[in-house]
Amino acid sequence: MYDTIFAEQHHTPAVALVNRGFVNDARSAAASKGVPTARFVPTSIPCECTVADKIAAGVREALPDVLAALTTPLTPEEISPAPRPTELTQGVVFEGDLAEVQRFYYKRGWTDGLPILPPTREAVAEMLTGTDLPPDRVVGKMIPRLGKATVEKIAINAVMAGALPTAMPILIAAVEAMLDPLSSYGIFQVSTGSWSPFFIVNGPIREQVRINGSSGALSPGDLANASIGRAIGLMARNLGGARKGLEDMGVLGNPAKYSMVLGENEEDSPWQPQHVQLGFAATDNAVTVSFPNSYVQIVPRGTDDRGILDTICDRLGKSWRQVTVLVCPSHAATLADAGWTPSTLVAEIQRTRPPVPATGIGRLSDTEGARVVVAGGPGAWIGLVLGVGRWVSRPVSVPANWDRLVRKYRDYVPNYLRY
Amino acid sequence: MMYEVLSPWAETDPLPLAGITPRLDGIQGKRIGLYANYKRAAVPIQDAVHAQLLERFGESIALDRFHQAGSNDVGSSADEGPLFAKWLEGLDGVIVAVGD
Repeated sequence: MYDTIFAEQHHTPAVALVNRGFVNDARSAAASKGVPTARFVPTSIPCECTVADKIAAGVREALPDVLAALTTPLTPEEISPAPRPTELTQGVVFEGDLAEVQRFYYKRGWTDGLPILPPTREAVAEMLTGTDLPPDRVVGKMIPRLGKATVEKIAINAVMAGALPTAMPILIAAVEAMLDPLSSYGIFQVSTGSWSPFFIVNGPIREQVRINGSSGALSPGDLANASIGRAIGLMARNLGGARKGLEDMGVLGNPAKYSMVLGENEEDSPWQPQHVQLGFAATDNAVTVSFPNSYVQIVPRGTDDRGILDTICDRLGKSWRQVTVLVCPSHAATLADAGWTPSTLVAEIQRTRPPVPATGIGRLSDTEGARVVVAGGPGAWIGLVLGVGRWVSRPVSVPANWDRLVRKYRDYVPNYLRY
Repeated sequence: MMYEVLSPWAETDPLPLAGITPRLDGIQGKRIGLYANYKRAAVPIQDAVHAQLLERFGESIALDRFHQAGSNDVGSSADEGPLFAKWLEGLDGVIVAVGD
């Protein structure tokens, strides 16, 4: 609908043909651009249809309405639209017990379906100890609502997600990375493709905040991995206003939208970690985001370097665009022993990729379609995280009180019973 | 235990609301733009619109086409936005196909 709004803003009467299932999305998009009464005609043409007969039939059915939308005089509401309803954004919005708070937040559409921790003033104040930035600092504006991602709002959503204050530096950097136009977040977050943010954290902060990069790094059970991704998901909803079936039009959805965060397993890697390859110092902290929509795990058909590489290339096939290859430490050692480095691996994997279309999301070049990251624990599995866009990295800045903060939350770890 | 809780919902800058452009007094004699975004169904949809408008109005209307190359919001695209704006200048009305 943005193109339709653009035409209206340029004084050209416009009407959009929109699949029936996208009516709410069209209304929301028009409202988000300040032209809530922009006209559109719902059609029966299947989404992304390539069948000429169905398209022709759908257009024939819709054409009278299309012509009417271009010629029917405007209503008073269309000439001067009423302000849209506003949501409470400041101060205390509810008082109740734990169950009542859950119900209130869930019914407002402010959760991801799981229970949240109540974002009280005290909890948010504690969360804000994780940054030196002032609460009212605007880190960016998140689409589609262009909601202001202030440090305080990031903290509120982080509390809800169950994060510790030590997550704040990563969350702030993650928001900065997502909002870099190169990430194409604005498209991925609302796309029918159900793309999900995937974060890789590098540097000493992984160990300090206990981001898992080893066994089961992408499984539930690690507070930092789980809550950082969850907080980002809540921000997409509450700051960006991307709600399922209204703005986020993911057809099938994606469980990774709950959380997909890992630390690179730098300690068990034979190579320089990703952030050092990108020009950061080894002692720097960095977060990298991309927007894949699928993740497959494979066992190589041979455990020498060719067996590992050929399995990766065969599994990728001929139609992939972008992949983060998660190499477990044992395979990384095998590949390194055979002389492979991340850059030579990437070049080898890239050879299998078909030419990149001149247009499309992310606009990847011919040489930036793959990354190799060491992750996971003992065992012999490879992960292929598949997307179409780019990777964007940002440095993570910790507050002055960082050492004290890390000590304060350091013992907040599971102590599993041995049985 | 009772909790006083804060809103996670973000503020936005005030958004001035605008109405839409006055409509046409008819289609005949007008120049109508057919815009297709980057999705694969958009161009075939406009092909069908084009054919059916010609079938219905014949030579009494003029049709003009624009196909978006990039996948970002065309209006804010540095390269395509100005082209799109220029294209709109010559039109009386526009029909947009988005492929969804």
